[in-house]
Parts: sequence; C-alpha cells; structure tokens
Amino acid sequence: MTDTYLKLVNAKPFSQFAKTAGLPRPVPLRRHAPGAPLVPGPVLVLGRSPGTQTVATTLLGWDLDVRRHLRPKEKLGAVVVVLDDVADPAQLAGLFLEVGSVVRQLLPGGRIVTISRPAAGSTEPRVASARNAVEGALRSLAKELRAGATANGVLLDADVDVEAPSVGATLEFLLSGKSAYVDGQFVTVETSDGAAHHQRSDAPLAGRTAVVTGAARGIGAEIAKVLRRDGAQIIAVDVPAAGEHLALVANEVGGTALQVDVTAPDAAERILNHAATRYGRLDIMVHNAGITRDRLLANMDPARWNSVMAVNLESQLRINEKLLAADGFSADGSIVCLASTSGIAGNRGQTNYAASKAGVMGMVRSTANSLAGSGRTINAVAPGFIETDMTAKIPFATREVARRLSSLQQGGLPLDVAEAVSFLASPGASGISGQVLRVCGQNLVGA
Amino acid sequence: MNSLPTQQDSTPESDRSVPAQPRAAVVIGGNRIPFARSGGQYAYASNQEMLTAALDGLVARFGLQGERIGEVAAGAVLKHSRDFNLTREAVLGSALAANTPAYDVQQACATGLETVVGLSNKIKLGQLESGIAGGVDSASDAPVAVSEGLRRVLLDLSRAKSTIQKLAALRGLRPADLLPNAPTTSEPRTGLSMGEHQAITTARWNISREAQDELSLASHRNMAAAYDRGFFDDLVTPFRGVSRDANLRADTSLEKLGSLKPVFGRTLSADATMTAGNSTPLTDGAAVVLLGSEDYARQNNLPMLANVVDAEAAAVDFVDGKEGLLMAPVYALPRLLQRNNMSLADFDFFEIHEAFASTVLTSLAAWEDEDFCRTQLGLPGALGSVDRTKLNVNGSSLAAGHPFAATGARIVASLAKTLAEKGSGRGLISVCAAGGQGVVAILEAR
Amino acid sequence: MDRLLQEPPPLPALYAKALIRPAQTALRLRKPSTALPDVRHRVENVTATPEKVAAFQGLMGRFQSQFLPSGYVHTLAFPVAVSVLARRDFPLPLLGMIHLRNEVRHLHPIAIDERLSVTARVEKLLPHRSGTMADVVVDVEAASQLVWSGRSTYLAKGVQAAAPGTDSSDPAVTDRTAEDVPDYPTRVWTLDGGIGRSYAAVSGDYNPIHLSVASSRMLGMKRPIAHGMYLASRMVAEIGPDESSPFQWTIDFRAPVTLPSRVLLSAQVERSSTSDWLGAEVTAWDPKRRRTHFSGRLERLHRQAGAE
Repeated sequence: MTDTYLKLVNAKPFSQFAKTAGLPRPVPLRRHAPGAPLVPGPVLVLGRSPGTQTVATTLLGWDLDVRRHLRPKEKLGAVVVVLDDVADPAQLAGLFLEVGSVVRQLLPGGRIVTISRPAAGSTEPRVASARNAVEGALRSLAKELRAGATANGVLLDADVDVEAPSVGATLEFLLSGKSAYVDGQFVTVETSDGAAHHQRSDAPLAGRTAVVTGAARGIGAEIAKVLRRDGAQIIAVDVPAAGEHLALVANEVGGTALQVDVTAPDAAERILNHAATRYGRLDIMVHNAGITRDRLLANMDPARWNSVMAVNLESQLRINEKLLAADGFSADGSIVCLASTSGIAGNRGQTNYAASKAGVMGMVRSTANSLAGSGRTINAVAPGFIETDMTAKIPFATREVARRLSSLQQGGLPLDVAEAVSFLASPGASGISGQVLRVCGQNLVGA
Repeated sequence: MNSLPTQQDSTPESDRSVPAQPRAAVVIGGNRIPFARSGGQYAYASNQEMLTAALDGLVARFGLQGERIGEVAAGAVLKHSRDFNLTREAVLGSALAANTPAYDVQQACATGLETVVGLSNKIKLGQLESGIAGGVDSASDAPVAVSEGLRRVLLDLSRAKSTIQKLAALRGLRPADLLPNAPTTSEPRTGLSMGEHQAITTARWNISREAQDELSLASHRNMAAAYDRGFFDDLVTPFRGVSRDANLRADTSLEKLGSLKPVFGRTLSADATMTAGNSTPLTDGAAVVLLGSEDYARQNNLPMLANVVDAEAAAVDFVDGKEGLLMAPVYALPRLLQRNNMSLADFDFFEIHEAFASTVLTSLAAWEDEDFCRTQLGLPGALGSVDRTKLNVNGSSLAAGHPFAATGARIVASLAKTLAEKGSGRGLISVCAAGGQGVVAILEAR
Repeated sequence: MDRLLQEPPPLPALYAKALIRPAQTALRLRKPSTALPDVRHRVENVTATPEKVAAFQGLMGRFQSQFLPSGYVHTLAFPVAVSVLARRDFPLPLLGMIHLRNEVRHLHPIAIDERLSVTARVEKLLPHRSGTMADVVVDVEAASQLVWSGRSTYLAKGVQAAAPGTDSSDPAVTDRTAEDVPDYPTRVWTLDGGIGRSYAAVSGDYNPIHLSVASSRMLGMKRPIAHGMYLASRMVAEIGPDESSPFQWTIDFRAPVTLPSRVLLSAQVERSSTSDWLGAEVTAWDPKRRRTHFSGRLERLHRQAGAE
C-alpha cells in the first residue's frame, strides 16, 4: 500500500506549502539496512548514576561516536539518558532540561532512549513517582519529535542493572533503524539472562530454527524474510489454500513450506515433527497467523466470532501448550505472538478481533510467569496501523486519518513489525519475557 | 520390509527374481498443483508454467533452493514444438540450481511413472543421488498445428532465396490450407479416440454402467475424504487460486452419475455405458516426485516414504482389435509379480489409474478370468482378485482428473505417503497409456 | 483385336467425350449395342512420377517406399481402362456408372521407376436387377511379366444392354434397411468434405460426383461421394502388407460413402504363429444408419503362385 501523501509532502512544491499551512509532514523513516551505521550521528550519553559510564562504555564498544557533552549546533544522532537510580522527582528537571536543550540538534531519524526503572518495582511513593514521571515525560517528548525521530525507554527490573545483556540488546534495537515505527514505548528487562551483548551481530539468529505461521503474505512473509536475514532457518507455515504464496516465500528465504491449518487439532504435532525431522530443532515460534471478520457486535454472527477466536487465539493457546511440553522446543526457545493495538485500545467493529488479541496478551503474560527461570521466553508484538492488504481494505478517508494520527504521521510497514519480532526472538532478548511491544508509531488506532 | 537382500537371500531359488539391488531408491515426497478441467482455471497456463510451479512447490516443501539435483526427468504428452526442452526450461525457471540437468520423456499417460522408474534405476545404480520425476499436461494450451499444406508452403518459403522462388512457394497455398489442425486424442493408427477404444473393451468384458458409476463415486468420495483429513496438505500446492482438484465432486451420488448420458460407445451394438461421470475429463496440471538414495535423504534430513522396488512395461497389439487399447497393464502385472515372487495378496494398496472407470474394472475382470489368464497371460489359472477396499483408497483420476503425463507422479507420491502412514506393506501401481502401452510398478513401505 | 495407344489418353477428354454420347444416342447418331467390343487397348512405357506417388502415399498416410502402392497401379492404368469404356461401341454410358467391385492380384512388387505396359479390355456384360454390369480387366506388365492384374466391375443403372440371363447381382446395393454390421470397429476413418478433391488431385480422377456439393448435384446426388478407389487404396494401404510382398485383394462396394463422413471399419487380421501377415477381412460401415459401405478381403500370395 503506497502512502501517496507521504510521497507528496516530501517533494517540491507541495513540501513548502505543507510547511506554511501547518499540514502534517511525515518523512520516510530511517530503517535498518545491512552495513548502515547504528545511529546517524554522535550519541550523547546523559546521566548522573554510575551506570551512565557503563552505558557509555558499551556504546563505545560498538564503535559509536559517544559524547558526554555536546558542542553548540553540533548535530546529534541519539541521546541516551541513564536514570536507573532516580529516586526523587526533583532529580528529573536537570536531565530532562538538558535533553530539551539538544532536541533541536537531533538529526532526522534520531533517537532518544531513557534507561530507568518501572514504578511498580518500588513501594516508596517518592521513588515510584519519580520513576513514573520518566515515562510521562518521555511519552510526551516522543510526540514533540519531528522528522522520524523517536523516543523510547528501557525499564530495568529490580535485580537488573545496566550491564545486563538484554539492556544492551534493547538499547541497540531502540537506537537502530529496526525500531523505526516503535515510538513512545518502554521495554522491560526482567532478568540478566543471556550472553553479554558486547558485540553487535549481523546474524543474531544464526543456528536457530524458526516457525512463522501465516507466512504466505504480508507481515508473516516479512517476518520470515527478516528472521532469515538475521540468520534463522525458516519453516514457513500457512493454510493449504495459501500454499502458492507460501512456496514463493519459502523459496525466497531458503526455508521449507509447511501447509498446515493452525486450527487443526494436530497442527502442533505436525509443526514439531517437521522441525524435528528436517532441522533437528525448533528455537523460535512466531504466532503470526490471524484473520479479521469485522462487524459491529450488534450484527455479529457466531461464525465470525468463532473463526477469529479460533485462528487468532485458540490456535496459539493449543500450540503453545504442546510446544512448551515438548522436548523438541529448545530450552532457550522463544515464542513471539502477534497481538494488536486493537486489543489494547479497542476498535469499533472489532469486538471479536480485539477480544482475540487482548486474549493473546493475557496468554503471554500468564505464560511468561510460568516460564520464569526456565530459559524460555514469550512476548507479544502489537502492531498499530501497518500498511498491508488488510489495512488497504479500510475506506480511504478513515485510512488517511488513521495514518496521520500517530506521532510519526504515517503507517508502519510489515518490516517494522518483523524487526520487533526478530529482536524479541533473538538471544539478546532472553532477559525479556511477558512483554507486549507496540509497533504503532505511538498511535492507538489500527488493526 | 527391507528391500536390500542379505547374503542369505541369494539362494539358487531366487535366481529368477530381481537381481540383488546395490541400494534402494527412495520416494522422499511429492508435489503437484491441483488439477483443473481443460478450459477451466488453467486455460491460459502453459505446460512450462505449470511444471515450474510444481517444481517450485517441491523445492519449497523440501528446502531445495539453489540445490543441484542429480537429474530432473519429466514430460508432456501434448507438447508445443517450442517446448522441445520443456523440463530443462522449467528447471531454469525454478528455484533449483541452474546447473541441474534435465531431460524430457514421453510415454503417453505412463510418462510420469516411467520417469520415476528411470530415475529410480539410476539411483539404484549409483549414478544419481537425487532426482525429480514428473510430468505435466495442458489440454487447454495444447499445440495447434498448421495444415500439412501450409506447413509445406512455409518450409518451401523459408528455403526460397529469390522473390520469384518465394512467390512460387506461395502459389502452392490453398484456402483450405489456412485452417489449423486441432489436437485430438485419437490413436493415429485406428482413428478411434481413447474413449471409443475403451468402449469396445468395456462392451467385450460386459462391464455394467452401475459398476462404473460405483467406482467413480468411490473415487470422488475417497479423494474428498483424503482432502478433508489433510492428506494432500503436503502433496499439493495451490496454483492460480485453485487449492483443490477442480474436477472433484465431493457431493456426487449414484443418482447424479446415473443421470448422465453416455458419451462413448454409442455406435456399438452393445449398450453405451461410458459417461462423462465415469470417464476422466481432459485435464490440465503438473506433478513431480522427489527421489533419492537413502544416503541423500539422511544427509539432508529428508523423509523416506517408500522404496521404488521394481517396474514392468507392456504393450498390446490393439491395432487389429485383438486386444483393448488400455489392456497392456493387465499383461505387465503377471510378469512383474513373477519376477518378484509376489502375488496380488502381497499388496496392501492398489493404485490403478482410472483413465475410465471401466479401465480399472476390465483390468480386475481380466485378472479374475481363468480362461483369459490361461490363454492370454500364459498363467496356470486366474491371477486373482484385487480387494476393492485396498483400491485407490485416496481417490484417483476420476476424481482428480488426468493431465496425461502428470498422473504417474501424482500416484507415486500419494501411494508413497499412504504406505508411510501405514508404516508397512506394499503398493502396486498400474497405469495404462495410449499406443496400447502400460506400466506397472511396486512401492514398498520402509 | 489389339489397339496400341501412344500414351495414356487424358481423362478429362474421355469424360468430355462420354458427356456428349447420351445426346448422340438420343439423336440416333449411333446405334446402342448389346455386345462388348472385342478389343484390348494397350499403352507401353508407362512410368509413375515419383512426386505424384509420394502425394498419393501421403494421402493414404503411408511412408514413401521404393514400390508402387497397389491402389496407385490402378490409378496409373485407369486412363487406359476408361479409354475402352469411352469407346463408341461400348454399350454402357461411362458417366454415372457405379463401381461395384475390384479384384486385384498384385503379383510382384513394382519399383516406382519401372517401365510398365498396361492392357485393358472389357468382359462379362451381365444383367443386374437394376441395370447392366460389365467388368474392365487391366493387366500391368513389367519386362513382359505380369505384375499386377485388376478386374473392376461397374453397373450402369437402368440400362438393359445385356441378354437376359441369371441375375448375379447383390441385392444389398439398393437395400435401404439396417444391416447386421460387426459389433466392434477396429478403426475409424473421419473423412472431411474435401477428401474427394484431395484424391482427385493425386489420382487425376476428377469425376464431378466426388468433388463438391455443387458438382455432385449436377449429376443428381445430394452430396459428393468418396472415390471407390480412395476407399480401396486406403484399405489396402492401412490393412494390407507392405508393397514388397505379393498379395491379392478384393473390395465389394455397397452403400456409397457420402462426404463428409465417419466410417467405422472392422479389420480381422490373420497372422501366422510367427506374426507374419497372412490376410484380413474388412468391413466398413456407416455407424448411424448401420449400413455396410464396403467389404474387403486381403490375402497374401506366395511368390511361386504369383509367378503363374
């Protein structure tokens, strides 16, 4: 789906008119390309805590141009604000105002990342308020940024410090073009699991075998491609009727096509059997298969409700149950489930769909609890408005409004969702579980 | 059920049986596009497109992208002259490595089975580690030839050097020469279509209309049930929006089949019994099978569904009407059984290609007929009966349709999977072909 | 009496001559005769044109061989035969005569470039219940040896030229009811409307009743009919042995084959225990009306027998 307005507003003479008239001025987002620098310019690391230097050292290890101070008018690729020991709201003013003083120096596609702790981790009201204040400030800052720049945060659970592998991995993801459509979000690192994240890798999933359901088209096909790009072997799964496209995807990613309906009672066995016999392992399960059957609840019929629940939720529940009980699923395996911002904010005409997607998020949180300490993780990605065949069916006016409602004033791409999935499936994310990562450009509308 | 004979097996009594095979040829899996009736969904698909799609689906199923396969052998019965190197062209257009050699085979409706047999033999000999066998046919995109008169004029014209010579060549052209010759399925030596030939055999063997309709019904029901239980999920890859064989009628019934008018044998003195319901329609489609040695399968973590044990071809003199056009498999089978020291009782599944319902029924009747078996097959008595519950258990050509050269690969893949599901036993394949030919083959579970 | 012609007379001229003869008879310019002329027309140094033979074999669906097809020898000799039939003293009208039967003994293979002598005579003027029959006998010699001998029987309908005698004709000729045809065909001929023109082109026999709807209507027929010799030649080409072995064949024509047409044939081929071709019985019929078009018999001759 082409965003015609985005093209128009970035070309003369309309660009000038749009600026004068105060029209939305979305820009093409900075996305990951192999070999491209992690950030478009120097990284300014701000903070008062001891962890600040640790973070700066980590970034230096990635060959970045790391600064603790910035010269006036110097352009900036990213700002990392280390707030891991904030205990009082009064501590915030200095740092945030310092960030504000350099915001105009941020290059297009720049990044602001905070590292702080979740409010829920403290019983001390002053500490909790300070921690929560970080989130409020950051989410607002995200809405002030322009030219494709984003602001996101890493939250460290109680036992986790800035040296934890997943903190580095998350920081890398948020600084990179891979998080282009992630904005105003916080990713919580729960444990210090995983290998130290000193080296950035072009193939973080090398040696891993991944199943992607619903891989024939759209977001699923893109997930398969990105997981392959990152080194994984791909088992592309879709319903038999989608086999023609599935074969094309499988051939493009050098994987295998497995035609199976995820709602079939033996779907999990067939997937596990295929992975075991053909690859000898299964490390990553991406539950992407999903359908919409939109109707106002007043007009809803059982077929619409039930089919959406069966494909989007029941299949994931049933397959996860068998997967997690199976030896064939790696001890450090990861499950990534596709949720939706509809399941968070609701969406008119999507009671069934939102129910299924909210159900997925409930399942993820619950399963993460039972997996704690096991080495396996489960997370969800909640896409917002993504340019796919599905959203192409939305009426023109609604679609245009939905696109501009996000902080980035445009829809995301299937690639943006796939990058988030690959990140959560990577060994670097092994300290992250039970999370729902929104890929929505800081918008709450969409399918 | 290992086909590799041990040292102790080499007793003198087994001298007449299959010579000790150096190693097994294994059916790893198959893929086909759903078959569609001629002039239907694939009306504008060429043989090359369909064969390429079948190959690409196989590549996707088994992760063969960029792999050099030992050889790809396939063919088409109705073939354009531009498709002289059809299989190689399909390989070049597929996701297989460009350095995969390929060649075309044509043995009418037995093409697909013959490619399986030929490549299996090469694998057994150690010439090949892997091979893809198959076939394709389009009755929709069939070649239309120019008339003999126009062909001669065009050839003369291409040889002519001067304008005068060219004009002289054109002077030979008659208006009637401009009419094209549409393809036919008639036997060149008799002018009779396959259906007309089979109608004669049907009448000679007194095969009833009811028996034919019942067999057709069973084919549709078995295949519909196989689809419903997901049997074809890893055998078929959709093509051009078709995900099930377009000819399949899950809801057909004896009443519906019984209401159809006969289409073949109407000029015979016997009652015409062959209808569009108990005869296969002209069909478009493609099918391929992945074969390999055990080593190849193991090294590549590929499944091993069944072994290709042995095969036998036969032909009959149908031109003088001494034998039915499609009766050759009846003659091939006893020879195959004898060489392998087997009888009909040694098989758990029978895949008898349903060119027409009556082809299957005449074959069964012939093997049960003591007199026929004695006089024509040289046997001491009747060959025996085929247990109908073991016959075409997942449907056959009456339901799926029959793109001539593709049928063999369809059957081999389906039977190999059926044997793998059972985990033991043997299956027999019988395919009749134009020109009074037939090929039979044995697959064995592993 | 033998009459040596310098070259085979052109068929169109003979047909033209035949066309004006009924008028001559009507004007009493010539006397109708009741006896056959006792004369033999002979042409020497007759040779086939290889291109024409190739075209003939092509129409019969045969590969080219070094020997003349049996049917083509008839074609080659036909103008000599017609020259006898077109004689003023031949009692039956040439045009409109119905071809009833052929009987050929092909005693030796005839090389395509062989110089042949063709002799034709008429015999057996016999009454038939619907007219009068006569035979034309053609002998073909190569190097003074008889290599091919053919007898063609024709019927002139409605002509009472023969002395009354036993009617030896087959009633089936005019029988319009369904007959007992074989149960099963072994082959089918699908003859298009242009097959008469195609055969005329390779045989030179442009008799209007074979060519088109319009030309056949001029002679009182609704549709053109296939040349009897086309049917005979094709039968021999498809069911007979190759031209290198001596054999004899007969064909009896019943209902004519109107064009276009689908003709079913049953050929019962006899073979020796070593699969050698011995002979065949052929029946051709109209599947719709269930009427026999022709029946034929082909038989291998041993070389000794052929030498006479």
